[in-house]
Amino acid sequence: MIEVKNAVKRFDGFAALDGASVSVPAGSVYGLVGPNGAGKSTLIRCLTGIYRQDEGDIRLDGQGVWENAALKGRVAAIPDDWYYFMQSTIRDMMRFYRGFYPTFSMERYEKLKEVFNIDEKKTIRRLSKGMQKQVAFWLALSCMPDYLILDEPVDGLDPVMRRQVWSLVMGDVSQRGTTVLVSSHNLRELEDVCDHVGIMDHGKVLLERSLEQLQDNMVKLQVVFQDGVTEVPAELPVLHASRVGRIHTLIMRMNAEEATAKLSTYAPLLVDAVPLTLEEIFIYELGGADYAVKDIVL
Amino acid sequence: MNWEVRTMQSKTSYFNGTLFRKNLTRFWPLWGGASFLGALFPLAMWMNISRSLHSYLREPLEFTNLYYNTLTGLPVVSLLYAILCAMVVWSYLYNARSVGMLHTLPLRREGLFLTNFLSGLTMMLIPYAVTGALCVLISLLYGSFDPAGLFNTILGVLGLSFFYFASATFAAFVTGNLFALPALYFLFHFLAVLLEWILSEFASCFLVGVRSYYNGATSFLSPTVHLLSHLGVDSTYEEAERITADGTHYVDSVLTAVELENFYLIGVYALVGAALAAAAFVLYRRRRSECAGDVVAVGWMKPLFRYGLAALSALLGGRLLYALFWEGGFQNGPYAEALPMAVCMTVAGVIGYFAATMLLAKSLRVFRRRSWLGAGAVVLACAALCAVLRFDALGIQRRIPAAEELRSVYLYAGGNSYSLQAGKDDDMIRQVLDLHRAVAADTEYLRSGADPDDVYHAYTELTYTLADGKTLDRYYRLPITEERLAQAGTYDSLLDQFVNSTAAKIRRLHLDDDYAVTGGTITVYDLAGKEDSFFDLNSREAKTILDAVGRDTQAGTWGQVDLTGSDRDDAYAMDLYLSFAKEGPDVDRDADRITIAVRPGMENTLDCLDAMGLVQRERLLTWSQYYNDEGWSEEYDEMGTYTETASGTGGAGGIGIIGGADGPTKVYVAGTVI
Amino acid sequence: MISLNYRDSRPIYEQIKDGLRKLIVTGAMPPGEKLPSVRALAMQLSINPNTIQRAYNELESDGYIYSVPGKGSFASGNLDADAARKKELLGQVREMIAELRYLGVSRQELLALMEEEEERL
Repeated sequence: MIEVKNAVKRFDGFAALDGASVSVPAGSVYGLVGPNGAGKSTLIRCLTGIYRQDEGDIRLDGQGVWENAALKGRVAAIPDDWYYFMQSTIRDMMRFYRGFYPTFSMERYEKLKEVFNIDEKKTIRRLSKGMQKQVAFWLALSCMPDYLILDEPVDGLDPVMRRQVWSLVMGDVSQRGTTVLVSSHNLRELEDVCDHVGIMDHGKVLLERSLEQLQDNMVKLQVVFQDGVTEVPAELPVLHASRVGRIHTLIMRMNAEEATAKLSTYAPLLVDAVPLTLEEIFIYELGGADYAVKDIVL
Repeated sequence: MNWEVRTMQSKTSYFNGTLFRKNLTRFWPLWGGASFLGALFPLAMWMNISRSLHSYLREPLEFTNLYYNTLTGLPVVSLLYAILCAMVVWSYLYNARSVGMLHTLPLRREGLFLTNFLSGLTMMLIPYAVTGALCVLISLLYGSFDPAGLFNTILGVLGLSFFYFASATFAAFVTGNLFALPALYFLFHFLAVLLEWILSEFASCFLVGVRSYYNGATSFLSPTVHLLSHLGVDSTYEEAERITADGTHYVDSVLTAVELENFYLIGVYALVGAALAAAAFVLYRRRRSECAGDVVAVGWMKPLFRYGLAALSALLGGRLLYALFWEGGFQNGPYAEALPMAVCMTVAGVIGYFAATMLLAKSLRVFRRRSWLGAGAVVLACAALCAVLRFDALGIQRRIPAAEELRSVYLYAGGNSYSLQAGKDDDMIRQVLDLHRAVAADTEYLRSGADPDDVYHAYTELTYTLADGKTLDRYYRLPITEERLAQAGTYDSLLDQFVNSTAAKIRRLHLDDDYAVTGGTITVYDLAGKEDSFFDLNSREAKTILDAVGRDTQAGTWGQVDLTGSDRDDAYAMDLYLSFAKEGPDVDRDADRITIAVRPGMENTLDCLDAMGLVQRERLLTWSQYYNDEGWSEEYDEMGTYTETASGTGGAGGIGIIGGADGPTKVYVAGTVI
Repeated sequence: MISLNYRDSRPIYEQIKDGLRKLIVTGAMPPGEKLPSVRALAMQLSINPNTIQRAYNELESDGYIYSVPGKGSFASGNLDADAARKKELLGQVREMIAELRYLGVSRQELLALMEEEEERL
């Protein structure tokens, strides 16, 4: 369980976090989505004990993170710019991590060695960026963390590697109940792996929802009304409506059956429920196209 | 599961072995290289001993002497090596990625601080340990092992290493930038000395009578300077008779005792180091990780840095600009002019201010309204400083001690020095104070530097020792003119009265004080320098000549000093020096050397010199005859002053460069130190 | 076994649900056969296990599968698919028939198709 309440973090007067609140249920995979500069990395650095928030409360399992070594021993983090020691080989770095994380598992490390298939005697500096990222996952997963905090984790990985890395993380989530917080500037990338999504912009979390909630609570209908009806009846609770020719596209905050039932009173010529993409859901959740949501989630 | 795994599972929150080992293995080239360099010395020593070059090192005490002498030089080594160790150990603080990584680890800042501090200290000590171990091996090999000396040396090395590394650590936590760290470190270490020097330089630029010199009053704030000047080795040697294998006796000097002087200072600085380390830790607890890259990482130190850099730049840069653009070409007189100096300081200060602002903001776009306000403050401060100095708002120029506060007075005037003791020489002291008052009243005249080419300048130096032991130094270059000499009450006439009083003449020859003549030299220049003759005088010969000069003084034929320097060429072309020493054990400290100008009419002296065979009266030439023979440049004759054109040639080196009992001369500082 | 189409705009859990249902109704997964564990499927598809769990839960409430605590989920033998699904499918058939008629397919042809499918099952 990760709980961030009204976190504020200022840099020289500029609030990178401006009252952000996040709640990640234990065992879930939480996607933090927002454009560059939204405050995702700052929030993650506060969560991993690098930054101390100026205001607000940041807790993992009910405990404050700042200077809490025992708690941090249960957290593994992969920042977007993962740091390793200049001359170190993978094995050197493994020894380093092993010296810090009480739950570090050599067994896991050896197993993952086969998965990633990288020579552990290689100097990390000489590996490609994507391989370095794989090493970061390798070591982080070997720490057997209860919390896995990932900042733009799959940037620079090819699709095959992405799948592999996510596969490992999902394995941990289902087997060990690992709680994962993952940030990305691209919602589509997180769609498959997350069960919770928070949208962040300008240092605030605009909304957070579980995907289940989202998908069941909004519907997009294509409707053709009977001749003579050109306007959408005013009494319909429509979030957003548009029209091409005779076909109206309606967004309504309810599930498909309810919506169809509501419309049937007008005996339309055609009612067709069209699935919404996650992006669309967020666009309408955030108040429609006039809000520059495209910039935030894409 | 190996032991490594087990240690990390125990919750040691103050020390992490993995990090410690990682530090040492990551940065081994540093301490490895230093160890290699250090090891060269004992190895070279061993070679030398084995080849009997330094056979004295077979004595234990000689080894201790060697240790101690090395220790007195270690402040410099430690100063340099500590910053390297600090730079590698604390480098993780200066990069956002490494800051993130190290602070994500499950280790509190206490643990990070202590582990890294110990790593750095270990890196500092390894080379000393290697070098020391080799030295101990060699001393054991040659039976010259001295545990007491070794113990003290180890304590000294530990203390110095700790202090320097702690001070570097403190600097490391003040900044967030790897490149700023050494700059800041050296600034911390030498700021006091630098400020003392530049402030006294400014005082001497503006204040009439104040000379720029560093006296080390604040050197304790610059530990390296303080340690180098105070740590010392006191070795006592005694003569011992030795017999060689073949039975010959010879006298050898044997080291019988070695003491470290002011050894306690290392302990004091080690305590200071502990305080600095504690302060550094406090800064770490409050340090914001995001300051990686900032020049100054501590919020409240930022204005200090901004205005401190502006002030340093104004002082150092302003002085430099002034020297470059005004001093050489436009300055009138020997003292700085306030307005151009203020302009130079303002320019340098504002540049320093904006440079500091840019460094703090990590941006070149700092010319905003708020920063111009700060720049305005810098301008005002520069102008205020120049005004305070120019108009002597602190009363430094006007400060003349009352007769009652004095213990002694040292005066250098008219080419001679006079040591005056309160209670004994009160009359002369009163004269000196009157003279000083007259000088202080004329500061604007002195500042204007009237007619520097035509007028002869009398160099006058004053040192008052006050009853409380403090000293007050003044140094004047007084232009002397005929009109003012004739005017009562001017410093010209007061100075003339003083140096030409019988009491002063007698004091010059040390006839009425506890100085005794110890010897002298005489050089006689003859016929175009072809037959110069030089003699060393022993104390008896010197005494004979001194007595003759004394008789001439009584007869009124010696001792008159012409402050305008116009009688210079009347004297015979010879350099006659007499050396004096104060009677008593401390020979080195109180010594004086005077030069006697011998002129026609000094019958007693001339007879004496002739009788001693040092000169032949009929062959003596005056300086003017001598110069004419040598065909000196007309410039010299016209100006009546000595110029550079004459310096390089022939045997004329003595003229006028070194002064003496006979009147005003070029810069000659008497050997006497009060 | 199940493939996800990332271009498909249906939510992933629906794609999984549909995929598994197809396997069961076509008999590719006979009654009593064990379904892959949530973890295995999550790792295989690299998708969130909670999403898979949700698909399993819905299939179970629709009666396509049943779960045995501690053992996993199994394909259900009782293909008494629920009324809602029937209604939904019949609706789709109706739409198709309307379209086929519009395209000129005769009633006989449609009945023949029906017969043919009947035979095959």
